[in-house]
Amino acid sequence: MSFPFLQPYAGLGNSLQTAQAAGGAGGAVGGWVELGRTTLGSDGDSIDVTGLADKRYYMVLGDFRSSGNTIPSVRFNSDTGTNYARRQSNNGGADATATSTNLISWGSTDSAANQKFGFGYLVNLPSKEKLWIAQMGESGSTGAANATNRREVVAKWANTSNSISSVNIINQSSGDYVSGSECVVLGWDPADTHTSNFWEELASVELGTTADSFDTGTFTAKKYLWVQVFTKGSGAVRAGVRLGNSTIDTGANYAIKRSHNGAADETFTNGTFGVMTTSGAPSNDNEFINMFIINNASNEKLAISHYSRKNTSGAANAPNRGEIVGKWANTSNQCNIIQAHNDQSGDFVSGSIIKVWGAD
Amino acid sequence: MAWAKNGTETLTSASLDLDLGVSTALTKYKFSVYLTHILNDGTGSANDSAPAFTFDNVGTASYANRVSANGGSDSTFTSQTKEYLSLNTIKDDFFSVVYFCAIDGEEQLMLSWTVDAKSSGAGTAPNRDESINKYTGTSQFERVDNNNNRGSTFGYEYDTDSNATILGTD
Repeated sequence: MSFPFLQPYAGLGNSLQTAQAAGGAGGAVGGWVELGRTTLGSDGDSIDVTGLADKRYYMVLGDFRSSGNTIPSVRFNSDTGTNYARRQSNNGGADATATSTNLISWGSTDSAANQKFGFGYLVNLPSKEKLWIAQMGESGSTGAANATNRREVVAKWANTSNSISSVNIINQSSGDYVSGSECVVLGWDPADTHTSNFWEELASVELGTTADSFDTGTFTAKKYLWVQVFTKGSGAVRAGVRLGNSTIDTGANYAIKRSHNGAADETFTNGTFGVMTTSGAPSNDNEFINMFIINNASNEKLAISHYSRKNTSGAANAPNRGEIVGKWANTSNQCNIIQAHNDQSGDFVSGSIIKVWGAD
Repeated sequence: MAWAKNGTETLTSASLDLDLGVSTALTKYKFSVYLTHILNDGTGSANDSAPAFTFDNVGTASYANRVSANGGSDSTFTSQTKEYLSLNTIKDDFFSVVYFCAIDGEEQLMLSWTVDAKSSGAGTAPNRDESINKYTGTSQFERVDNNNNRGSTFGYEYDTDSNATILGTD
């Protein structure tokens, strides 16, 4: 058995050296920059990130660890008026709407005392309503035998006179966010000239031969991971993404909830497939996977993923899609290696890519 | 390399178009995030929008997508001359997030989410769209043209302060 040849991108070495010389995560102008964060030092029901600079776009990351039942919810500028409206889907179910509410429910009613992880994008112009697009992953009960849950939300804050200066996380339920729970707010603005990018490149590999799997090699573990995978297939292929610490965990330690092409969610537990796996196995397919992971050593690792599959080449063939929340039921180590693997009869071929960015 | 600003444009007057890479080509990146915040100027008999974009000003039948509106069943569209982000027309201001994967020599793949304010006030819930798209051009794009495909008779123009931004990385 031979190991696939992995090569860094052409030019990556020089780019990475430049970035490191400029201060680690920085170097390039104008990526997402951290504006504020609040980490709970003791159990509580609210996490306020205040003093935010006025930016056109925000990206919000939420690491919510629960004692008892929690339902992460959001307000802006501590506005407790009935100035919010939303639309959401739980586990791929029919959309529900709520209007004239005093907050935006971000999480669902998952009753397990568990790990919840969300990311959201927010647009901010003082004279216009603020619009929010967000996802939430929930681990369910501990262990790979228990499925994850997922939620999609869009919302607006009907304020047309202020810029956003704070993001307020509230718990709508009876439990608590435990110490260490956190909200981080990133920003981006057309006027930005900073080089202090939040997302630092941790790994970048390109497959140089034909193989059923390839991985990043060991990288510096970070709390928040952003992963993008491009796989190029020969024959029948279906990509999955596994995690590990020093070595890839190929055991039955994963659980996922997945919708393919908008169909009802499927649940898979005690699986070896990884924190995500695509559906179907068309021939010679290319896949693009975008994934965010919360990566705390003592908590299950939660991943929110989406994929786009090319389908047969040509504009006469629509692509296929998937939405997945998965977990790696490891509660002792951070993930510091990521693998793309194919469980079908074909192969990944040269030019397939894994990229990992991260931040603590 | 780190994520970098590749292009941004903010309208100084209302227009049906909001384009990136026209006067100065965009850098070719393998992975990009495309953010658009479009404002309704109140014009057009239907006062709505069908946001669509092209790559490198290619207007031939080179685009296909799969889209769900408000969590409904997927619809597919093939051999299109533009890339669409929504199934139905957008009713008011909207915000889109699109991830691009543009590998040289391969068809280009996208994942997108859009929220439409629908109408002003917290008494109206927003609409949402989830779309995945592909562009059959196999050269990495250097230009993204976004326009309201409804045209000015029916649709609104993108108002002053509408913004499109693209961040990229290799």
